[in-house]
Amino acid sequence: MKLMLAADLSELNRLHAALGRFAEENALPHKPSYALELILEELFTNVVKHGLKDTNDQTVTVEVRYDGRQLTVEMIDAGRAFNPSTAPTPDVTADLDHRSVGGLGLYLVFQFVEELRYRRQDERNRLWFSLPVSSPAEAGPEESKASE
Amino acid sequence: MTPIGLNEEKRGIVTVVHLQGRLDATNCEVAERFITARLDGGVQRLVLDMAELSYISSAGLWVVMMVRKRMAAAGGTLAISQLKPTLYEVFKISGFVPFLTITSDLDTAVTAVSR
Repeated sequence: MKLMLAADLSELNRLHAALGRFAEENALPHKPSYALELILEELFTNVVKHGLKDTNDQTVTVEVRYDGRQLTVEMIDAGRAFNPSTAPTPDVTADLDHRSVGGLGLYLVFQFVEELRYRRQDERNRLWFSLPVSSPAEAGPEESKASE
Repeated sequence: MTPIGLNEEKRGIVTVVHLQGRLDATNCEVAERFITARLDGGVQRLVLDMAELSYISSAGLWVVMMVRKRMAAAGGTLAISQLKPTLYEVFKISGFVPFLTITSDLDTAVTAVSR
């Protein structure tokens, strides 16, 4: 599945619809399907809010593949160079009243991905990540590690 | 904007806001405004019922955090009820669970904030 998204948060609706179709066609279990959408929302939102402020090319390309065992995703944008792995980690043990929400989205991304790689090439950010899928059908939310 | 259902229900002294659908970066501000309008109106005992909420991202967690901060400052009480397992996991990973009253059914949440 390949999608070209404009740098606008309203595109999340199109992303949601496309991921829904992709999950259905591939009989993806609920949990990895949810994780995929969450990761993509967090990464896309981050790029729209911070990365693509003053660039000519306002497109974010998302390509999702599924081989029956894992999901792999490539996300490309022409925004400011930004490697998510270098983002500061929020303190998720601090009382909610003393927290800022900054960094929580990327923190969630790293809790769900199996592997994430970043490179800057041709003035573009190229993110690649993988996400494990336990079994193609009938997998409950509690058996996500079954196929490892 | 992603459609979201926000419905208010009064249960005695407790206000329940039922969230339905998806809470994401496109509608989090609408949800936050809806809920803080209740707080502005004097609501001190609040349950956010998430029985029919199928998706939440960090933007949705921001709403919960803002409401919790507002209520703590005003001496109010807040509970979250009926989180679906995947959403509960997102709350847990984010470190929200130890700081919130989370119940599996609505009645328990209403009782908890009534005390």
